[in-house]
Amino acid sequence: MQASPPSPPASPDQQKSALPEVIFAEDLCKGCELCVTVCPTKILKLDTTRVNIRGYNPAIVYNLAECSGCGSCAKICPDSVITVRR
Amino acid sequence: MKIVYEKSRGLTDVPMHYCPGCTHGIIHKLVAETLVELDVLGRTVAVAPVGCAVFAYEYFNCDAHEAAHGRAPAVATGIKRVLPDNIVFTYQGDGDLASIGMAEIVHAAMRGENITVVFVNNAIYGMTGGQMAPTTLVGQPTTTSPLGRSRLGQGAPLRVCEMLATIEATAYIARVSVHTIPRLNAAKRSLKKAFQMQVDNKGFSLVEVLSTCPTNWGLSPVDALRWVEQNMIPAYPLGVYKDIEGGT
Amino acid sequence: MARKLMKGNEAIAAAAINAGCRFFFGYPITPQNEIPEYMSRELPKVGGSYVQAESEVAAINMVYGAAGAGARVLTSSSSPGISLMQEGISYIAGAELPCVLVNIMRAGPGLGGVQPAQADYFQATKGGGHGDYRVLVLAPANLQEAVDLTQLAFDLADKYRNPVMVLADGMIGQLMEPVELSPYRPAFALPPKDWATTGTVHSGGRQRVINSLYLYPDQLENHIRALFRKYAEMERTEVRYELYNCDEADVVIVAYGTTSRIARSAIEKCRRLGLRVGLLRPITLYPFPLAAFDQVVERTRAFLVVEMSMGQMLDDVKIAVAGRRPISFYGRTGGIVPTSEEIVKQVQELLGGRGV
Repeated sequence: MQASPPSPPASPDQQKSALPEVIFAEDLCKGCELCVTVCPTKILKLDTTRVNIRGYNPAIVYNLAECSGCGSCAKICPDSVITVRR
Repeated sequence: MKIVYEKSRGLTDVPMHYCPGCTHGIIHKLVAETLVELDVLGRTVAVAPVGCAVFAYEYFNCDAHEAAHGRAPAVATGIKRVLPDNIVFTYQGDGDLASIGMAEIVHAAMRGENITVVFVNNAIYGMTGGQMAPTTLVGQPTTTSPLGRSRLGQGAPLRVCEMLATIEATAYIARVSVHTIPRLNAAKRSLKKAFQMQVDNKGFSLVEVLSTCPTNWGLSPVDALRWVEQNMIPAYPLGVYKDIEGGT
Repeated sequence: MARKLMKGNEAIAAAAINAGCRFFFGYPITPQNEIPEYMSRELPKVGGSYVQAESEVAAINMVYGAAGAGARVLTSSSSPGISLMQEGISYIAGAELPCVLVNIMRAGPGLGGVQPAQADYFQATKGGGHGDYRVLVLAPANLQEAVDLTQLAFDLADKYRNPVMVLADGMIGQLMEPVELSPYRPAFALPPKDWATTGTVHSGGRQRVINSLYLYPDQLENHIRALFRKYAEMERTEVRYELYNCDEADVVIVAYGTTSRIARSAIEKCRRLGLRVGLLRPITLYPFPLAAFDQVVERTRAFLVVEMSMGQMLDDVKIAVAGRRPISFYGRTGGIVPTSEEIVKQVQELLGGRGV
């Protein structure tokens, strides 16, 4: 399991209402981009700088600050890679 | 922090072998979640098809039978007659259900067997490498219709929900898709309804799920979702085709 | 229960119910329709379930499901329908499930005829379906034996977790004879069916899967070798046969089922003609009673195999005799049932004509 990459330091207002947690079991990701496509705030992408143990570019959150915690990414993921907490 | 979404305990820990973006994974999740939410997982028996989902029993966390190609509704009939208090479901693709298994699905429906059928329709034969299916669209190229399915000689697609809805002893027949979040949510509601009908001994239920096959359609997983929207939904309208409880 | 006059098909069905069978899946085909008809009447009375399947293909798959769910289950058919069931039987054997199959043989090939025949011996004993497996095959010669062997079939099926076939013919199916159905007791202790898919709530969460797919060849080879250790055990312990009048026989007739009864009449006629003839009657066709031949081969001069076919058991007799004595064959086919006079004539030709 890998946590999403650290987002920019939170402002005091952001710290009061904690951000959702979006956790990827990265070794299961197949880079299909279904999560990327359904995310309403478009904060997901494939990390093209590396590959996971299966040889795929894993999906990551690149802007957690904009995450609404809707869980759509987790819902559509065919491989149950993503856990979302709010 | 509350869980918004996590992996269902209706699934095992075995990583799925399906192609990237294949909707089998999504449909497995919806079925698994439904079984957990209805609290029937411990008395469920799954019947796996021949097709990409031949290893479905590796992923569903319940007892299971592998079935010969197309025969899952007959196998399910045997199981349900012996174990009427168990929840018995089949999970079948378009070759399994609408080609070699056509007699079995029609007659299980005819008898009103109190089972639930999950019908995964992706208009092609996935596991064997992309041949034409009964549900392949006219004009759709496959490895056995290389110039596109020809109306002359190869016919036109079978609409399973419409056909089975004419059978008197069926209880619930619905067609759904999982290519957007709203459609996925509606698909889950349909599955829940279908399984609840079995719990309530209401009779035969079937949910047809329009699905993708990115590998054999020659599309990226995301483009494959769009293909469902643009091509499959006009050919296979979503909706409830039979509901003895009168719902929609 | 007192002796009751019953038709063969009904006696077999009654025996199955007596042995605890509560599930029947089948399809009508002549000359065995009394079996599904009897089951449709009687199973509901004992809380069982009768399903008339859409075809024999569907029926054998229902058997597979019910067997995997832990039940004693029966199906019956006749030759062309048994052909349709072959894939399912292969699956049942591969998945190591118990079931009892009844074949009331009729003439083939193809649609053939509806009169009795014994031309499914190869199909029953040499596989029939694809892959390396065996079906234990029991061949009754009269209705009481059909009753007894049907009940034994359920016990053997459960013991070995394998399909067991009761191989009869249209004559046995349609005959009426007095039979006795004693209260049933298993012939031996049987293991619990903890492999049955009753739901993980009964197994502490352990998943039970009924399956015959092994994509890794080493796993599949190991699995098949395990099946064949079972079959070796069957060959050691389950062989059944009958020897009649073989102590001083110049000719030993080899026959099973209905043909063996006709042979018995022929032997009596031969006795009155001063001819010494015996009968070696296999009761298990698989495992074939090879050792029975060792018992008689030194004491006789020739074997006469009589079948209602063009010669199928004949091949196994040749293997068993291993060239030690000459073997003759007499067959009728197409649904013709030989008379005892025809068999007497064959014996006379063998003994009188050519100085055996």
